Order: sequence, then C-alpha cells, then structure tokens
Amino acid sequence: MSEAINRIVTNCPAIFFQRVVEYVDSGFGEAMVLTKHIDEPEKPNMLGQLRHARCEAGFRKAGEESGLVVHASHTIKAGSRYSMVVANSIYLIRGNIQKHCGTPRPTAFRKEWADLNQWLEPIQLDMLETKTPPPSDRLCAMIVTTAHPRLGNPSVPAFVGLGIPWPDLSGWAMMMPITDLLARYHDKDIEERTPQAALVEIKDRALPQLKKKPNANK
Amino acid sequence: MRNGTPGFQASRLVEARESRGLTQLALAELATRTSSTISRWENGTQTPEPDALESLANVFNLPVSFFLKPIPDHGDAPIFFRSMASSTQSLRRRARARLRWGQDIALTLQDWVDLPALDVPVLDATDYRDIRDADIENMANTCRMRWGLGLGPMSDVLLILENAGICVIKEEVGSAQMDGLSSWSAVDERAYMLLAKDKDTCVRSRMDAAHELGHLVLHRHLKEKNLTEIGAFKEIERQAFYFAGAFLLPEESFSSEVWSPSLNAFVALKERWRTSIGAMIMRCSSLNMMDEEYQRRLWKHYSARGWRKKEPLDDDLVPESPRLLARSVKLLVDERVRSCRDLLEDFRLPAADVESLCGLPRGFMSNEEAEIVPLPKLKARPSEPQFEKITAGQVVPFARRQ
Repeated sequence: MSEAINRIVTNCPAIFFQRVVEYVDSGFGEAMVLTKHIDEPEKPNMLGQLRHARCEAGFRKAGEESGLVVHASHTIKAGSRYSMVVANSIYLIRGNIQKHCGTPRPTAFRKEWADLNQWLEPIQLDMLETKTPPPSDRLCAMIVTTAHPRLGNPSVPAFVGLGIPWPDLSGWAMMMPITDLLARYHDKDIEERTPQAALVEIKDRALPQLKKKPNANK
Repeated sequence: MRNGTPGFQASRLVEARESRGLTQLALAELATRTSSTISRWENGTQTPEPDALESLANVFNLPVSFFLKPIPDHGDAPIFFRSMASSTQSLRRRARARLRWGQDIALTLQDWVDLPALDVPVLDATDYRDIRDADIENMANTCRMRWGLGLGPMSDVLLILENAGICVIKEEVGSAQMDGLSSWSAVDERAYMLLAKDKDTCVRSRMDAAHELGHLVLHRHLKEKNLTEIGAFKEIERQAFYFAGAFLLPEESFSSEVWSPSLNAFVALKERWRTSIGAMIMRCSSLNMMDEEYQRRLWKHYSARGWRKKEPLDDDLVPESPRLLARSVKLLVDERVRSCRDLLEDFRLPAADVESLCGLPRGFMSNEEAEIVPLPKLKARPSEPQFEKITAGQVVPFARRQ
C-alpha cells in the first residue's frame, strides 16, 4: 500500500491536506453556529446537513487554493452533486460524515469512483483463462471525517483522515489520519532536501589555564 | 560560663543544614542539642563550644574549618529557580546551598586558574514588565551571533555556556520537582547555574540550561522584591521559557523546517534539533504557526501517546555534561600545583561533595573506592521453617589471571 501513499504524496501538494483539515474543522464550527437558533427535534438533522455542506465547500476551496482541478458536476442520472478534486491521476472525493471510520454510504457516485481501485486487489491467477490486470494508472481516495458521538464536543470533528477504499466499498485498503499523511510529506522532504541550517559544531574553549606566577619571567 | 568558638560563621551552619536537607529539629536530634540552641547558633546570638562544633561537623560530614570560613558576598542578585510549583521550600534552600558551594569551589579554583572570560550579553531591564517578546527574540539572536552559532541546531549547549564563561554544575538534587537554578555572583561577576540530574535526558538538560541562560541574560538587573510580586514569578518564568525556545529553535531556520506541525514530523525534528517535542509545539505556537485549537489537539494526541512521561528518542540522545570545574581540578592536580588533599583543605568540603559538584569521578578526590553500603535485610520470621541458616553473603574471590 506504500505505493499508493507514495503516489498521493507525489501528486497532491501537502498544502491541500493542511487546508482540508483546517476547513473541515471550521466547517464543523460554522455548522454549530448556524444551528444555534434551530430548535429540537430538527437541530441534529440540520447540523448534519450543514456540516456536510460546509465540508464540501471547504474541500473544493482547499483544492482550488492548492491549484488542483475541482469539479462538482451533476451525477448521472441527475440527482445530486458531489465534489471531486483531481490531482493528476488521483481522484479525491469525500465520504459522508459518520460516527465511525467505516466505509461511507455506498452511493452510485462513490461506487463508480471506488471502482478505479480494482488494481489494488490481488489478481486471481487462472491457468486456463488469461486475465488482463486492471489499469493501475488511477487511484481513488476519500476524505474521511467523523463526528463525535453525542457526548463529545460537536464544534470540532473527531477524526479527519484519508482512506483508500476497496473497489466494492467493502472496506478500506488503507486509512490514516491526515496528520500522519502530512508527516510523510515531511519525511519525504527531509530526505530530498539538505537542511538549510547545518548543525553547529561547538569548538571546545572551556579550558581553564594556570594563572601565571608573578615571578615566572625572572 | 561556656566558651564559644571564635570565628564561627553562623550562616555556614544554616548553609550546611540546608544543603543536607535538615530541619532545625532534625539537626537538634542528631546533634543531641535542643532546637533552641541550634536556633541561637544559627542566628549568631551564641556560638557552639569546640566539642559541639566537632559534633556538628560529624553530623554534616564536613570539616570543622568549613564553619569558620566566611561566606563571600555574592551580592543581591536574585536566584532563579526552575522548579514546579509543588517543590518545597526546603528543596529550594537545599539547591541554593549546593549552588553556593559550587560557587565557593569555583572561587577557590580561580586563585590558581583562569576560567574562560565571561562573555554573556545582558538585557538592561530592571523591571520584568518592560521586557517584550521581541526583546527576548532579539537577545536570543544576539547570544547566537555573539557566540558564532549561526542559526542551526547546536551540538552541545553546556559547552557553549562554559565557552562563554558560565560555570555549570550538574548534580542530583534528590527530587524530580526541581530542574535548575541560576544566579550571578558579585564576587567574580560570573554567572552560575546548577542543573538537576535527577531526570537526566538530553533534551531536558538542554532546555533547563537554555532556560537558566534566559534568566541570566534577561533578568540580571531584576531585584529580589520583583520576584515576590503577584504574577511576577509566572511571567518571569514564561520569559525564560520563551528565551529558551528562541535560543534553541531560531525562528528563521526552525520555522522553515516545520512543514507540517504534526507529532510524527516533530519526532523527525527532535533528532536534529535535540529539543523536546513539547518545546517544539510551544515554539510553533509562539511563532503563530498553529492556532490555539490545533495546539490543543496536538497536546491531546501527545498525551494519548504517553509522551508526557517519556518522549521518543529520550533514551537515545546522550545527555550533555559540564566540564569546566572538573577540568580545573584535574589541571591543578595533573600539573602538581595542588594535590587533592590541598584542594579539599582549600574548599573545606568533603571529597564526595566536591566530586559531585565538579562532576568528577567518584573517588577522584579521596583516592578511595566508592563506599559499599550494606543493604538492610528482612528479618527471618521465627514461625517459618529455616532450611539453612544463612547469615551473610559470602565473598568469593575470582581467580587471578596468570
């Protein structure tokens, strides 16, 4: 799975993920503020919808600010609009906000894009039949956001991560918190870059000297 | 009428008692005197008779001459303690007494050797409220520039301090609540710091040293009364911490290396900068590289990983050690200017204390092996069956190699 991660790290700028985390956090905060004047029992529903709306907007904004291709086209057949950010061969979409890190609701849109990850599954070799391996030039990844359960702080998300789904959305081939992903950028960067400021080696001058005796020259 | 001891220094008795962490009551019990007698000796209204002084010297394991040595006037510069709020007054007094003994040793050594000339920039502020964060950044940069350190990570902070003429003492203070203390001495106009060895990790020791340097640089002209004001202690400590962060992690170079302020990234940076991950989070916060909420989340994850007790690499990075006082002693002994015995008489301190304060190997001053203290053994219960009567461990000599 490290190949998939390396591909993401190579194609998506780190700033995109930094902004995603930031906008998801602020999306939760905004939803909280916007539902302040909504009464029960409509409040939880509205909170969920507003979180989704603000996170979608934040996701697109993060893509735009990072110079990536951003879509929010109609689904076929028309019914909804989902945001997508494309970074070369990486197709990034969002899962719906849940209380756990399981796979998201399997909408037609998500299933269609998760299908790009066919190449992640091992090929069943058959002596009698020749199977063409699925193309591995494209990868679908999802931003996974979870909310705190009822007793948690509703103004911030519980988890923001990146998941690579299996093609049938049956689970995650890989999932990691965005912070860990960002650390990969750091590690990659460290390897490539020589540090700007070199380690300062200290000359040892902490050497006491015997005092000169007054009659030493005599 | 009782005859006292002429030349007895009452303040030395206080110092000795505090350095051993004893109360007047405990001392009275050990010296088989009343606590009021101890009190009178300490406030100078009475002096102990020669035999009582001998007894005191035995209790403290100090030579009698120690109590006759006048205390040098170190001036009114305050002593700054880096200790948690839970540290007791007796612990602070003990640490202060140890620092004073270290100063005594250094002053005596300077009769025979020249220590590196003092080269420490000092902020000319007499009130801590006049010190702004920009001044602190500026002073940290001034230190780096003056000592030719550039902007990169430093390989040995204690060596830098000793190069600049600061005397560093590192020893166990007997408690995890105390990290260090520092002070200027008016006698030789030199800066001194004592760092606790009890939680001796590389990054902690460097942070303690940089923190104390912050006090020496920023707060030299503060008066003792400044420290007793409400809120002063907290702000003065914050300033010293800020200085330590700025000195160890310069804004220009450090901030350019923090691409992602995540815990994993900080682990990679810790190895290079030799600064704790906690300190790096604080530094990023003070440089506005992360907002309050993000910082709160980082701390939460930091705690969840169990890093409050122990961070990654703590066991791998080697703690730094001071060398100036040990080198001075060794120089005098090696050059046969003074013998160990002469030096002990000069210092008027026992060998174990000198070795500990100077960072010398145990037994160096006394030319003796370390004392083997027998550990207490559990008594055998009479009801239990005793298969074999074992009285003590038997020492089996190893065969000599031919």
